[in-house]
Amino acid sequence: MTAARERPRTASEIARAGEDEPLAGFSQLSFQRLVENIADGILVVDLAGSVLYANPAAAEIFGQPTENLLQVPLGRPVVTGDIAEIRVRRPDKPPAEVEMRVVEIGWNGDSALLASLRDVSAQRAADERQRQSQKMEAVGRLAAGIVHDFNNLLAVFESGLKLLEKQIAADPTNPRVGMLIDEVRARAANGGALTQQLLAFSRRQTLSPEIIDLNARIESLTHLFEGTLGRDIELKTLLAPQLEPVEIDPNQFDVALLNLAVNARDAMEGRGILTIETSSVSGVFGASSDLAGFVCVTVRDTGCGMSRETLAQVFEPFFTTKPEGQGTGLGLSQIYGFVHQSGGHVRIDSEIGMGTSVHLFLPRART
Amino acid sequence: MRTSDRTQGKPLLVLRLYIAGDASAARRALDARKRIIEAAAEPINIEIIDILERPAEAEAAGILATPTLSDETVTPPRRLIGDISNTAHVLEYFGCSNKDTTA
Repeated sequence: MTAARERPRTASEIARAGEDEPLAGFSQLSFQRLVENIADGILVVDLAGSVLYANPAAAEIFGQPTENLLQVPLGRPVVTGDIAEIRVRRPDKPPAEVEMRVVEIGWNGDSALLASLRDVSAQRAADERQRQSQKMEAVGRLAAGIVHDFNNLLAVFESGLKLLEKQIAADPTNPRVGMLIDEVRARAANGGALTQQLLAFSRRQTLSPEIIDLNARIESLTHLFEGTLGRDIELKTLLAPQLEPVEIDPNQFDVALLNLAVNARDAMEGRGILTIETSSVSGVFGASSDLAGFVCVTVRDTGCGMSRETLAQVFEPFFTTKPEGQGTGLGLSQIYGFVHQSGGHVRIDSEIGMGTSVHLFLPRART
Repeated sequence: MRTSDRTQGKPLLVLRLYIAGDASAARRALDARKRIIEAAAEPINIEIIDILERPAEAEAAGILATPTLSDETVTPPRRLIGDISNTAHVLEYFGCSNKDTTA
């Protein structure tokens, strides 16, 4: 009971002290109206987990009349930190994604828990649509860049077919006929693999953080990059051995890395060295840094670099230095959004003429 | 006391963890489940029930939301709903001792 005396008196304690005593100048009826009209669902649950009170918004979230919720063994609501995410089943509706907050209160003389519930289903769906459109934007940027490569591929087909035509006219039994057919088939397979990778990449996937090995993820992506960055860009990977795993959404990471690779390609105007590097932050930036506990992915190019003014604006959505039709500038804002959502940081080092290094600091997975 | 019952040779604690699909909350709950089992001083069996795959069981048990960790051997069932990652709290709620505190 000592603890109870130290904290401010709860509404029920005040109510016990003087039945209809107004609370902070408002009548209990006013408070009741407030609770019954608020958009958030409110449940009062006893310590054994039975529902003692549900406001109309809570009934709406559960898709059931208030009286059905009372005395139901819902369970004791628990959160760690500020919010817990729960998914509510509903009789005749799709499930609701709900954010739950919990505080301890007094209720009719006993300890109870007040759970406030916010239906975030619509927000989640909108976020999901935005992520998908950012991904398609990244694919679009990449596709725009590889149209040129596809044209080259078509030119190879055309000349191959011409040679084949001549060879068949001259001597259809010459083994060169078979070799030319194999050559054209191999080029077609190259093009096919590229489109398959792009299609696989564009598939709709939901956001779901997983514990992943960044090095393995980067290695699998470099196959896509090798086919799309152009012949005059050398791709180097410097992957730290025994890199700690991170907990991030792998698809968002792919999109971020793809955006960085396309930016680097454009900054180098098709010629230069793109380096993708991984490191444990303690080894590189000093253990005393605020960034200890992070794993760093650096994408470095030997391109034109950026001025201080440009650097200050790069994370704004739609900011771009590219000519009209070549980019909408959404790439870096996707990266910024993804990294922050993952609990990490982004840092860019760049100087005009000296190239650009983008560092993504991603938190190590909790073990 | 359930704890002393078990020490007198009663069956081990059997709980059910209701989750929905592979949403991030569900994955966190599955992680927590592992840690709870590891931290418990006595054997615990936590059965996983994905309500998307087995909706009838959630319906029969009256599960309103997930993740829910439930002891259905008592009436009414004893449940926690939300974030069960605080292992010590969860073990205490279900009357089970923690390896660290009993050691």
